[in-house]
Parts: sequence; structure tokens; C-alpha cells
Amino acid sequence: MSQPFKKYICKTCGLIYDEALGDEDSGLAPGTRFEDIPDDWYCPLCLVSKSDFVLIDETKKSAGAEQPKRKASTQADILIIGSGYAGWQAAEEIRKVNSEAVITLLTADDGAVYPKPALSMALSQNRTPDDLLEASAAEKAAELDVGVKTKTKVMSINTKRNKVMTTTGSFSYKNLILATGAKAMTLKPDGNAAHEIITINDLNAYKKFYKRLQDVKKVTLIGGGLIATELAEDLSSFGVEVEMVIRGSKLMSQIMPEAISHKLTDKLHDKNINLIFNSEITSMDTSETGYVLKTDQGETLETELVVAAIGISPNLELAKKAKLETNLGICINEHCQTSEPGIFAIGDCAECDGVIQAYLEPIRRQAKALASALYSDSASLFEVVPTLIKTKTPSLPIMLSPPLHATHGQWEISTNVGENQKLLYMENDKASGFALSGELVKSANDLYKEMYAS
Amino acid sequence: MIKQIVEKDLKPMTVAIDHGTYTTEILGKLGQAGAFRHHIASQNNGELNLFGTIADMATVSEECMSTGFMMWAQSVCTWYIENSENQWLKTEILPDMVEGKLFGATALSNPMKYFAGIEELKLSAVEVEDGYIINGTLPWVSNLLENSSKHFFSSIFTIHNKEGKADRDVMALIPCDLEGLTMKQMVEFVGMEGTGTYALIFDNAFLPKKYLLADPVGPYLQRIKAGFILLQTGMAAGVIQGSINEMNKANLTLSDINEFLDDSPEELEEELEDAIELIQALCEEPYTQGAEYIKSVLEARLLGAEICKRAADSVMQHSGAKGYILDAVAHRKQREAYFVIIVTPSIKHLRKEIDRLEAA
Repeated sequence: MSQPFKKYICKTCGLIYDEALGDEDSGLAPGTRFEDIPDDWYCPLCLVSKSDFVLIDETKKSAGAEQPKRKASTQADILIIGSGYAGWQAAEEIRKVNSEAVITLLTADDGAVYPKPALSMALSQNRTPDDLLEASAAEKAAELDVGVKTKTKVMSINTKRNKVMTTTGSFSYKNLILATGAKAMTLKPDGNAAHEIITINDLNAYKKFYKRLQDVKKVTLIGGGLIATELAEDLSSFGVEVEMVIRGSKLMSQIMPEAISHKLTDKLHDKNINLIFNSEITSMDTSETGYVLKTDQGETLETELVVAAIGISPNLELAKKAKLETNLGICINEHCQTSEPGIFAIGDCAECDGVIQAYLEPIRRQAKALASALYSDSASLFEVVPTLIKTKTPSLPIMLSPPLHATHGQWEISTNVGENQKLLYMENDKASGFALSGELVKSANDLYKEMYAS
Repeated sequence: MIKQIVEKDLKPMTVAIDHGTYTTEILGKLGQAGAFRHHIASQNNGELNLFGTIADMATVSEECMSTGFMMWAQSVCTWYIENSENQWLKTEILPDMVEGKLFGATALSNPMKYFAGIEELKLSAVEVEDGYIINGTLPWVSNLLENSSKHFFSSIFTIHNKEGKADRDVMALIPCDLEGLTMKQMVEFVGMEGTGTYALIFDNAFLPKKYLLADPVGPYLQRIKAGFILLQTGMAAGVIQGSINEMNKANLTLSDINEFLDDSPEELEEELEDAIELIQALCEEPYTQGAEYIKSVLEARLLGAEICKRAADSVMQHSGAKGYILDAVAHRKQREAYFVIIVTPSIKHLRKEIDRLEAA
């Protein structure tokens, strides 16, 4: 019993060689088996060689055929740009108050839902990037009955025509919500490896970082703020050597009083984290084992991985191009509305009363306010109030409520027993912020309520 | 100057070129007018102005994108030589190619797909003392002329060692009159026929080492990549503008009914302006390293292709039945615009590449 005839396809031009039919123009009679074709035979259409043909496997289905896709409407009542916490939270709150609205969410990445604060503590919790994934974009979209379009970058907004142009076509809207977030700032020292500095501001970046981390023994962190400090503790627990290069003279100087900062510095020293204060990286070059860094203090540092955590900068390009009012962020009012009435902004890209609050709690209130403005009685308003921060620093528990504008006041010590400290930020004899460490963090929630209950 | 060449010399030939007439006459004139000079600092008083070349290409593509495509081939070939370390090519070939006296092409479609994991590399070579013996076939390389000593193209081939194992990839310039190289026109295309497009068959073709562009090829490709992709946006910008012009023309008589269409010429014009602004900004520093920049370049190119897609559709609809007549401008614009969508890197290739950069 002879084998059934097979078909082979040219990978270049798609011409199909069917053994049953042969190719009489090049002298191959019907029934000529592919393996019997001389090696110098070429594709009769595009002239590539026999080796460029592959067997057609007719049982093989296209890769995407199995997954049902939710159709993202190109004519949405609500169009959300961004799939970070703010974008998804906006979709969720709007859906709560309106079950009818056609909601489309556009995202440049894969739209995965994950807890962002975990990025600076996952190592010590023994969680891999895959463990952090809470839901895929498709799952979350199904849950909220919204359409999601992933891998779609919005290139411009046309406010006159209520449309956005993206890398996968255009989408029109009745109301637009910008949840474009912020990008991690980085630095550009001299040297041939300067562009290899890593930043971590989303799960994708974290995945890359995690992958690199598997083959290194030492990591240099640039920055001394909240995230840099948390990462230092987390990396240290992972068993790699950690070094911090800090421009200023203290840790978290923007939000934390010096007294606690000093205590935390001691704790990090105890963990063998090397803190280099008052230094900036001036060059980064590749070396045999990794990188060589030079600082403005004349120091030379050998390291294997360099992570910058020097703050975030709101993504304003789209808003600016659309001529929305911007300052440090996209300016919004108490309804989260921008200077263009049909356009709202929320999250790390938005600025209200001159303040950007890149924390989850204010974003939750922003989402409620905008949902209320869009589909309810507009009664829920967003108000800027100081936030409560629990730092992920296991070596010294700290809870802070930094003042919104730390300009004219100063930190005053109220309790100081060993590592248990309480400081108040005093401005005109009134406390406008606090910082607690050690055992005293237990009183944070009560203190916070007491201060902002009104 | 470029506009005059378009009006006086190109316009009367556009339909013939679309049908298959290959001419170097226009390229020669464009070269003399400086259309290939802006981005070649060594021939432009040290100034690198990538956007200048793109703008000229757009001006020409607005009338005839086949010619715009050949300008791209020419511009990108000079870009390869300019960025190589081959002094002989830089003194003997580059100035004349910039002037439009010699003609350049690029056979990097297959290598680009190879580096993106889409195809295998189709050319292989054995290194001998003073050159390479090349075998393999490349389908569809444009801006060529059979047996011409004035036409050159660049390609990448894998060097195999004595045991027949792949050793490394190198890139070189190859003259069309190379012995052992056969050029064939096998298929007829629905558009862009007059672009001198051939399949190339290498049968133990000996290429002297003086034609070498890069060995190894890796760092060199990083250097030329952004320029290669950005230069293509000149075709996109031109054919979109050409489509807009044709839509405006249609609106002289059909505006009442055309109002019901989705993509108006005004709207496409606004988006084109935004896209050009973006491209211009990216052209400032074409040697920027790192994934972020390349991603932006790919996105800009993807945006160009996406607007092309809408322009291709809208120009046909705006023109209506008049656009459906053989040789109608609208139909030619549609076929040309589709070329931007499918030429390497195509929309699907760009999306794959952006995806890969995200995940890398």
C-alpha cells in the first residue's frame, strides 16, 4: 500500500508542490515524490531552492484560533488608555454604576492584572513573576464585560473628532480616560553600557529583571528613595550582594525624617548592604564579569546588574499633544476631569491641586469620583489628602504620612525609644504629617484617622 | 528642485513606471538635486539630516511610490556604505551613488526576517583568501538592472567553515555584473512593476573582499537599523499625502456624499502631520542604542503603515467608480499603499518585533 501523496509549500512565495500533480514545467511527472526531486530543483515561482519547502501539516491550526477573543469596540462610550491599576480600576468603578456603557480599554502591553506594590517585595515572599499574575487581560475584561485591545499603543488623540489613533487602527469615544501612568526615570551616564541600566515599573520590566537576576551575584541600585530602599531589602533577602548609590545624604529624604532614616541606614548596614551616599554614577562600561561604574566622587565600582529607582515621571506626551492642561501631571479637578470636558485622567499621570499621588489608595477614590461624574450624581468627589504609606522594609517597620507640601515646616520628635520613634511634621504649630517606626507603627491607623477624620 | 523634477520629469512617466518601465533617469536627476545626500554626513559637509532624505522621498512618493521605493533602496544602500569601515567603498562607490550616477539596492528583507526568527538566511558562502564564494537564491530584490556595472545591492550571507558548519554572518555590497550571479524576473506584480525587481541566483559566485560592509555583522546592524526603518517612512508619508490629494480632488464633485465616509482627507492630514512630527523627532539621533528607541522607531513605522491602510481604503471610496477604472490614480495609490503594509518589515512583522522587544 503506497503512502498518500503529500503537499509541500515554499516558505517564501507560498507555491505548493503537490506530489499528486508534480510540476510538469520543470519535468516532474505527476506522482513524483518530493524526496525524489533533484536537489538543484528550484521553486518555479520565486526560484528559491528545494530546501525552502516545508511539508504542509493540514492538521495544524493557527496559533490564535483556539482562544475566543472579546471584541473591543472601536466606537466606545468610554475609552480607557492604560491597563495599570488606574485603568482597570476605572473600568471596574464605571461598570459598577452602569451596566450598559460600551467600555473599551486600550493597552500597549499585554494588559495583565498584577499587584504593583509586590514588585518590590516578591523576592522575599518567594514569588516568581508568574505567581504575581492575578488575571490575564482577557479574563479581567470578561469579568467586567469590557472590550480590551492589547499591544495597542495610542499615538495621538484627536479631541475635535473624539478619536484616538493607535498602532492598530483608530478608536472613537464619547468619554476618554487617560490612565497612562508614569515611566521610570533613568540616567544616562557616559560609557558603552549606559543603556543597559534597568528600571522596574511594571510586570514586564520585572520579568526581565527577574530573569537577569538568576545569573548575578551583585546588584547596584541607583537611588535612595522608597522603591530603591525596598528593592535593596528585597534583593538582600534573595541572597545577592547589594550596593546603593545615592545622590543625597539620606534615605527617603523626601518623605521621611532624618531620625528614622538614620536608624534604617544602620539596619541596612547590618544586612551588609553597602550604601554610598552623596554620589552619582558618571559612567558605565561593560567588563569581563559585568559592568564597571565610576562615580563623581572618583570611586570605581564593579557590579553585575544596575537598577535605577530614582523616581517616576508622568506620561504626558499624549495629553500635551492634545493640548490638555498639564503641569507635572495632567491637571484634573475633583471629578478627575481634565481641561477638556470629555476627557478624564486618573492615577500616576494625573495631578490634582498641584499634587501627584502615585499610590493605590488615592487611585481608588479617583476611580469612584470619575464613575460618579460620568454615570451617577457626581456626588463622589476626589480630594487630595495625605496618604498613609507602609514601607516594605522588614529590618525596620515604618509607617509614614508625609505632608502634601513639605516646605515651611519641620519634623519634630515626639517619642524616641531605641528604634521606636514617632515624629510629627509641624507647620505653624499644627501637625500635617507623621512618621512612625518600630513598635509604634501599630498606632498608625488611629493616628491617621485622628488627623484626617474631618 | 525635487518638486520640479516630479512635475517635469516624473509625472509624464508615472503610469509607464507602474506598468513596468524601469528607468534610472529620474533617480539620476534626483541624485544631482541632492535627494540622497542629506543623511550621508561624509558627503553633506558633516551634517547628518536623516529627515531631509525622508522628506524628499515623500515628495516623490506623493506622485509615484515606485520611484519613492527605489529612492529608499538607493538611500539605504548609501547608508550601509556610510556606516561601514570600508574606505574603498566610501571613496570609489559612495560619492557616485549619492550623486545618482551609480545605483544602490538592498536585499535585507530575508536577513531581517531571519533576525526576527521568521525565515532562514538564504545565502551561504565559503571564505577564501581574497573573497567569498556565494551560493543561494534571493527572491525579489528591487532597483536592479541585469548585468549592470552601475547597479549594486547589499546582502547578508552565512560563512560556512570547512566542515560545512555555519560560522558567522557577514554583509557585503554586490555588483549586478558579478560572475556566477543570474538575475531573473519571474513574476508580475500588481503594482510597483517598474522597480527593477529580480530574483537573484548565486551559483558559486566569487565576491572579492573589497566589497565587504561588515564582519561581524551584529554591532553594525544595530547601528544601521533605525535609519533603515525610518527611511521607509518617506514612502508612507508620500503615498498617504498622494491619497489625500486624490481624495480632495474627488471631493470637488462628490463632497456631499463623501461626508458619509469614515476617514476624511482632513482627518488623515491631521494624523499624517502628527506622524511626521514623531518621525522627525526620532530622526534627530538615529544612532541611539537600547530597546526603548528602537521600539519607538518600529511604532512610528507601524503607525505609517496603519495610516496607509486607511488611506488606501478611503481613497478608493472617495473616488468611487472613477477610481475603479484601470490606471485610475486612486487604484494606483491603493496598490502602492498596500506595498508599505506588506514590504519588510510588514505590519505583522513589526507587531511581532515590538512584542519581542517587550518580552526580551
